[in-house]
Amino acid sequence: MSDKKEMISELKSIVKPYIQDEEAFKNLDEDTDFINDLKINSANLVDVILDIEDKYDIELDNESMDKMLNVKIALEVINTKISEK
Amino acid sequence: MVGNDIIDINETRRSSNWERPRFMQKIFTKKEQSIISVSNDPFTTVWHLWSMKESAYKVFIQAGGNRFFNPTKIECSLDSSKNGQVKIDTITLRTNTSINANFIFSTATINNAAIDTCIFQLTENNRKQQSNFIHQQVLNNFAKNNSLNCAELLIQKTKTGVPTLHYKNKLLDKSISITHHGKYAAYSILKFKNYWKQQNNPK
Repeated sequence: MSDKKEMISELKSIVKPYIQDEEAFKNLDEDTDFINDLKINSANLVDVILDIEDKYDIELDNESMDKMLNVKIALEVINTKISEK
Repeated sequence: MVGNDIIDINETRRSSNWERPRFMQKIFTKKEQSIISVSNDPFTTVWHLWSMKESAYKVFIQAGGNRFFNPTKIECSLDSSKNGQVKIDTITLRTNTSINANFIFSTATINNAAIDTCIFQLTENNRKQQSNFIHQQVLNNFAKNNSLNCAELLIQKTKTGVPTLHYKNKLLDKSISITHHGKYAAYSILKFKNYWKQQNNPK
């Protein structure tokens, strides 16, 4: 499992094409909210989820997506799914 | 309560690809996927249903629901090309959608309550400037229509991101929803303070 810093930077490059708030993106940390802070539109949040699935070769079922509104929870869900592989 | 959602068709063509593998399964239920599969214009139907979900979700949040990201938990059905219903949890919302070459626009209410809607085109590209412009439009029009002093009118957002109108530092009992996407923006305001009155009046 990658360490947290590395995972945040991986996640950062995944969300980059979809963000609409550069300032929030620059300061991205665990508490960053994809919609409220990065202003990713919700249709593009689906793309983020699909990109995460491709990158880590995991499947995020609709139940695990449910809470993935910020970086912290996204990392938790990704780690859980990786450890279940 | 009212929720709305606008989709700029050109912007969506640019920024989203609904034909991307697994995209449909992530956002639509089996029932919705079958509505799309028999549609003459799947692109438009995809974004029509999506705008219905978005507008209904906004009402769900206004009603005190917790935020979530699982579009298949929200299910749409179409009564006609304009009117539809959206189920979230135990709530069913009525939606109204208008579609033209430029945008798809949906509103959701609890029971087809009357709403005032204004749709306009944006000139600025910067998101902050767009947002300020939209707020100013809302305030100017609302002040004019209600004979209020615009300078004392204010839009604030609640913790869950719901916009509220304030006059002379007092919260107004007016449900409002604001949306923007690409070059288009819109706001919708419930006409009457109390939607229960509407429910008792047959349509």
